[in-house]
Amino acid sequence: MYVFPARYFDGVTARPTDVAIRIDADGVRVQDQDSSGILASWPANDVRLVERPRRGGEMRLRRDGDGAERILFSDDRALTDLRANCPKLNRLQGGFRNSWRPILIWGSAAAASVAFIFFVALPFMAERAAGWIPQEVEDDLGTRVADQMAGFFARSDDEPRFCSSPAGAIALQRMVDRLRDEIDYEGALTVRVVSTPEVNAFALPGGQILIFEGLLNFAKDAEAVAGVLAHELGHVEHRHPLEVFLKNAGAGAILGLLLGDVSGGAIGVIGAQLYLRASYGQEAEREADAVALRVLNASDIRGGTYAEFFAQLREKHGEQTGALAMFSTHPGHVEREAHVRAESSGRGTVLSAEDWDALRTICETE
Amino acid sequence: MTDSMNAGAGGVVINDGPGELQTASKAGGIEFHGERKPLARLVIKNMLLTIVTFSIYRFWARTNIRKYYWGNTVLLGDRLEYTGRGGELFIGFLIVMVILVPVSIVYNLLEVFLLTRYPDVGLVVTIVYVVGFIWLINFAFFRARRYRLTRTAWRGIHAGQTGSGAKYATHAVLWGLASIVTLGVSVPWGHVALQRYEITNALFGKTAFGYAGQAREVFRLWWPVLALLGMALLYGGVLFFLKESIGPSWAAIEQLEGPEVARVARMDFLAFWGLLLLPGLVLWCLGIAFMVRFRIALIRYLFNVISLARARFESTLSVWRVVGFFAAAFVLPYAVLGALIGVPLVLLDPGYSVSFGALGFPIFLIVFFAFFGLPQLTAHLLFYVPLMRHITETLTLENPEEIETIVQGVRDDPRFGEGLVDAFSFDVGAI
Repeated sequence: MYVFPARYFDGVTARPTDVAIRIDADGVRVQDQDSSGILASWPANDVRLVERPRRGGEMRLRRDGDGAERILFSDDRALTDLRANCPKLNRLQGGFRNSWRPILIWGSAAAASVAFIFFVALPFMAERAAGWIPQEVEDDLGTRVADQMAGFFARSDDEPRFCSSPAGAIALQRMVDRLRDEIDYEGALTVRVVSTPEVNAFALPGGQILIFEGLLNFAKDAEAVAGVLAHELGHVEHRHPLEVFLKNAGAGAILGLLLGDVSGGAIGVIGAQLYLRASYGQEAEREADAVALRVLNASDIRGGTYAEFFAQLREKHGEQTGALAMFSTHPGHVEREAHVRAESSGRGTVLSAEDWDALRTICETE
Repeated sequence: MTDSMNAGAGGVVINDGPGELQTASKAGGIEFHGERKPLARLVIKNMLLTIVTFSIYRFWARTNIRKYYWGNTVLLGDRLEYTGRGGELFIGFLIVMVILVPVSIVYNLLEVFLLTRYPDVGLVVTIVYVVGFIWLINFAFFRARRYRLTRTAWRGIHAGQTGSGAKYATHAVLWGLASIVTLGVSVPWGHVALQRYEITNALFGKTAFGYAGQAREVFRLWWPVLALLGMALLYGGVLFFLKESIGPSWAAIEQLEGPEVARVARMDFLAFWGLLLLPGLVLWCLGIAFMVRFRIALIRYLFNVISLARARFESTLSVWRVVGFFAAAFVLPYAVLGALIGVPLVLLDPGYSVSFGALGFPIFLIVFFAFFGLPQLTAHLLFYVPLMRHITETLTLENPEEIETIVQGVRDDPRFGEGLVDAFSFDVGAI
């Protein structure tokens, strides 16, 4: 048994008492300095260190449970004796024992809440809210997003971002005019070609459609481009772009909240961008495909090369996943090719040969 | 008591204060024993674990940091103790995710809905929205303080807080509105009223803190700020209304023929208005400087009007030293970092907006460290540690023995903490 001097706080007053501490297998006994009376006795299983001890430094003991009493000492030998006699000396206050249950309960509730928000509430509300946004606001938004995206994909700042050779612009307008009357959309429609080798096309809020130059070079003929354009018009008709934008905004805010103040901004933005990459989802793509077929058929434009386009993409897919990331979320290429072939009833062309040449070279400046 | 007290100091001696203060604080006061090196190790460890765990570790990180600061703050020879646990903060956060997030989504959606449906009442909707938000922030802060106080102990006696968060938040909103209506004149009265509520509801054991703050005295610190900023705004306003009649206008220059004529006219324009605006700018900068002085002097003022049992504090905190800490911690590193990152970016990549696309992850890491890691390190090492040292060195305690008469109170501790504040991302200090 080891006796050493210490200071004792009884957990009731802030006044220290100089005491003698006895350690044995029963635990810790707090005695008056002259060993006359016992002030407290802690069972061995209840003795805890407040924090990790430093040799030579002052050490603090507390009693498990309410934990208001304290014993303060600086005696390394005492520490050795405590370690030998008190098995739970280093156990954390409260510890995981007491917190796993609420963590589990609230954790699963929080996960359910977040999942519900992401997969049910957010899409539902984005769809609703898309209807509330006034046209001017959407147009303004669309213009800004289109400029941003064109800037993002631009090769460099001195080259023109949007292509508009005079003959090419006329050809593009002709194609748009052929298709636009067939969709159910009142707002303004702005179709532009962006100078970038990527094979892709985007529909953005406010009837903004961007076709990448790479797609014009990749397509076999004007009808394939018309098919892609009709598909994007389908997104416009269903107001998918605005919904996605609203969903992204909400997702960004929630991600920021989840990840906390530490990394808030940066990770939230990245998360939102990842979400943006994920695009519309399969159902929206099917809706857009349906519109594309309807538009092509109503305008009597043949769908053969548009269907082939999917086969081309499939071949290319392995080597160029990055550029085709957007298409990869679309329903399977095989399925879509077969679907277009089966349902397409148009026979005609969309542009004259000269116009198609002009459109292909819309980005060339003389 | 004295023997073990000296041992309690753990051999750490702080020796940069004036001699008499040193003895005063030794005799019975407050000391801070925190050091940069162990703290830096702790901050970096926290940072790495926070990144690795997708920021879930942040609750435990915050707890570790608090344990360090509390454990190195010594009152009458005994260290404070932080008894909070990371798990409690984590659960508080989870609860907020369950309850607050759906509510806030509905709230935001309602705002968008009303704004788009009824543009005429847009201003009203926005004001109600902002006021509600401010109310919630104040509520969150009051509750977070309760958590922090209930997790603070000294000699086994726990701190605590009474009072109602809703009442506090309502008063904060009303005082905020009052300061708008009175053009800032009521700020000292609002400050003192809210602080009195905070302090007199803070408990140590059974005993509530006392507060003897006077709005008149706070006003003495506040009026120069008000006068300077007011004059600057008035000056700018007058210039704005007179701009047509007293000087050259930009629109007229646009119509001038010939590039050389236009260039000279433009220089004239800038020189004229630049000179004319200069006094306003000087007034504004002075106003901001006095604002900084005001904020820091309030810390000193708080110490001088606060009491516990019959113990009083007296602080001779130097405002300009604290300004110095602030500049060293939050201005200097960014100037250096801005030069280090900004200059190469401009030189290498003219005209490009920064995107994560090209260099990807390395750039992300640098940016992440710059915006997340560095501020934490500089905040702790260059701001909080010197600040805590300076505060404790300049603080003397009258009747310290009175503190020992304090008796443990009835404990009514919240089980989980601070989720709301975490959600608002305003827990800036990380302490």
